Amino acid sequence: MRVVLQRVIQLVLVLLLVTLFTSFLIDAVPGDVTYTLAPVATPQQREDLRHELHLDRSPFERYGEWVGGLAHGDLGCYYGTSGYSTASSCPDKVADRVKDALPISLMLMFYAQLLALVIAIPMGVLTAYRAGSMFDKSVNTTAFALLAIPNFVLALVLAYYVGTQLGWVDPTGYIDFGQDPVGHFQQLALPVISLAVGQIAVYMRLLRSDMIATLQEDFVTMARAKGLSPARILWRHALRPSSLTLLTVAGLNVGALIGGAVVIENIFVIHGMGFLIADAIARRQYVALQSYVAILALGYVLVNFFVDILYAILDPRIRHARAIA
Amino acid sequence: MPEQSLSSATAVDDGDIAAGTQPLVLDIPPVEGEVSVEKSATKKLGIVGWLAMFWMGLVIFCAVFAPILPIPAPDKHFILNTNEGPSPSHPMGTDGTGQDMLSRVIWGARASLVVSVAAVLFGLIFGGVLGLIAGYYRGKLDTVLVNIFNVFLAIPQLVLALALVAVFASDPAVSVGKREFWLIISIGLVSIPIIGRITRASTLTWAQREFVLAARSMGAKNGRIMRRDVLPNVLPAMFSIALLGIPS
Repeated sequence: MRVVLQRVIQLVLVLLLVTLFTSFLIDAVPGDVTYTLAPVATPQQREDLRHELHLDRSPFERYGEWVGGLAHGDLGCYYGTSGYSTASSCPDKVADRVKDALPISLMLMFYAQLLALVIAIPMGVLTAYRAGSMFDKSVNTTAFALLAIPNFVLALVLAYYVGTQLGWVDPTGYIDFGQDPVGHFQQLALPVISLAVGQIAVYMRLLRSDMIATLQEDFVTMARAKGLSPARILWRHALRPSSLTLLTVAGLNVGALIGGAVVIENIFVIHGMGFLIADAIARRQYVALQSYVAILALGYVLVNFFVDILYAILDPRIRHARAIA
Repeated sequence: MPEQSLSSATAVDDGDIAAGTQPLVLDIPPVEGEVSVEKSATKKLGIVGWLAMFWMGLVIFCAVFAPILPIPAPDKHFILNTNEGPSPSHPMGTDGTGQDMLSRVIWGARASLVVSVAAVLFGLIFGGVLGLIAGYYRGKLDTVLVNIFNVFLAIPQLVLALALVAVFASDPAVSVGKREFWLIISIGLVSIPIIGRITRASTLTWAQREFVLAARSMGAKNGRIMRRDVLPNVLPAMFSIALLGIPS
């Protein structure tokens, strides 16, 4: 119970720090939302609008306002020409956009990670077991070739050949799972493959190098001496302590993908979180951006917390360790 | 040992990284097959490996010697031949404003190489040290560092880069070099928490090993244990992810 409470306090602190940083950083970027809302306005009109949107207040005051709203569960409101609206009369709520975008990003993240891990883990284990063999070399070469392809290039190639030339799937748009399950997977197949391919190579390489080190450990020799089958040694004894780096990197990727994949989302016209964040930055939508960053931070903290728990489950040596004072 | 894994990690095959992770050098003959296979794998790069090495060498050579190579300046406009295909005078053709594409690619590679190598180094040094400290000492220090990592991970890279460049290099009078410097800093800042977390993860296990305990019982100080016993074992994981970061 105490641990949970500590984690929650840490979470709140991280959230506040990240959003505070972001609000000051974005404040330092020249230009503001009045230029996109009212491109042709007299300086006086612009001043009035800034006053209405509370942009003439200090970043501290605006940040305080945003935190106050967040404490009431209000993610804020997009700036509009009708002025800064309170939660009750907001025409364009940030929460509405998040409700649409976040599930899309989460799904994209989940499928991409699942695909990458399902392929990379067996490959990593087998190449480590057969290190130096023809199989290992060919898989490695393929992995490097895949690594060398930037995901946006792969996305464009897939969208053009599979989407437009072959006409198997529509290269743009998104279909909800509840609406049409088959269409849902068809629509997401290309973006998921584009995201996963590079990560397959990274995951496989990481697992392979950690696994090679683990296979030289005494406990593996011991297991072999007991006469256990190679499959059992690889999967039951060696895989768990070898997967820490892989797990860390996968956790980082999950965190990053909660915030969306800006380029991939733009290529396949999927309106996920990446699309919203890039849009909010470009249009200087401070309030919206802060809320998105808060969601992103929440994702990172939760995922990393989960990864920390998994470390202890995977490797008993971490579980039994104590802090060096 | 670390130097060895460093040089081989840059090459295509990192077979002897595994050999570098063997922490205790005991005089036990290696298990038949395993280590000898490792060695032969590092010696032979293979055709693909040599091609890759050659290509990297060519790119680095061109990037380093760009100013003295016989190519036109990247911002020189050949207004009579815009949008041309490859030709003897312009091997990669020209773009819409008549600039030589080969020259632009080479000068672009020059900028990318400097920025990526410097940023990754920056991230490796700071992220590595912080991750090592967090994973070794654990406890309160670890909690603080991990949460700082989380803060930096969650700030969108785009916002960070925009703000740093806007604040420190928005003046048009600011030199390209200075702008490059802030770009390096902002990319480096982003890579610190990533490398930090990875280093911390491997340090967590390596710091619990018998040889660390042995070193401590012999009276080695924490700093020495981290440097001499833990770091060499953590390096492969750090490099495997940091070197993958350079291309992007």
